[in-house]
Amino acid sequence: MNPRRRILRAAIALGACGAAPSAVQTQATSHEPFGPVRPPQPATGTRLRTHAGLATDLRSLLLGRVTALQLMFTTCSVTCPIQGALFAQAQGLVLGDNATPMRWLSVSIDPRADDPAALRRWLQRFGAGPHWIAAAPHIDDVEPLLKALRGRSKGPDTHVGQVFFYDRRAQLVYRSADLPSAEQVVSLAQQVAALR
Amino acid sequence: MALAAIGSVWLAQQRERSLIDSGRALFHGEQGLPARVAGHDTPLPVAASRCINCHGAQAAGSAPVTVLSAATLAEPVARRGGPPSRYDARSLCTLLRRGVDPAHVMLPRAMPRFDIDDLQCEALWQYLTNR
Repeated sequence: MNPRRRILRAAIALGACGAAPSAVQTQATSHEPFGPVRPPQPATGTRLRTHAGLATDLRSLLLGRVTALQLMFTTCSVTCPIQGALFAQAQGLVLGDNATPMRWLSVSIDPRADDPAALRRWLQRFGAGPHWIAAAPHIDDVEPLLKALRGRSKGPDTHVGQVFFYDRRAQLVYRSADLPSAEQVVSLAQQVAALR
Repeated sequence: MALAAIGSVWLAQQRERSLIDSGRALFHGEQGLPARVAGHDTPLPVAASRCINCHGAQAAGSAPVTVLSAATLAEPVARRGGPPSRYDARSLCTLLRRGVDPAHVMLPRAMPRFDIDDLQCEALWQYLTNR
């Protein structure tokens, strides 16, 4: 089956799991709250500092490997512990799966508090492996990133619990529903990996 | 006769105290309560699903989520755009298990769904409405 068609089928399956099904049962476009991003959206040049202290930018960091990105911050107590647990579960599901080399990226929206040490502690809480990176943007780049991802929410943690999928060319190709399951994250990542 | 009555009251007080202690342990995650995100198969770790994460003293970055008490649970309040409603132990159970509040409004997925039995529900209710 055509990989893009498989992604659309996965989107419909996600909708069937309860989150805004009408959004994917109609024609999915990049303006929909979740589903395939058409056309794929190049990553922003958001300046980042990783948990290892490395200064980089989002586009450079994403190149070469399918990446699942989530928004978070380390002092968030409502959705972020759940998001971290879901990434940990998904990471466990692909452990040893060399066919789908994945990168997990947790991007803080609170760079004032989230220095590399705080990000390292957050990763440790969830048993992050070597391909799970946490990073905080330059403070001036937070809002542009949130705008590009449409990542703000009115919830208590002020950011969405969606997972954003980037292909190996650092293009955003899929937005998940809010708080997708680990199985859905892995399935979508595998389908993104199959895209040409 | 009087001794039997005193004994009965004492036993009731002991039971209530025990329930409150158990409810406190559930609220703080000291006593594990299986939970998952609605629609998910895999349970969440207790650290990600304990009540105090969202309904306790808030971390620096998160906006306040409803503080749970007798005033916020047992008094009629309009919640999530629904008509005024109040909780009792039974409706608290329904909310925890199915994510539906007393006004029949579905809660967001960030509120985990819990595998909680009737006695645990009652314990949580006693703790929340007596603290």
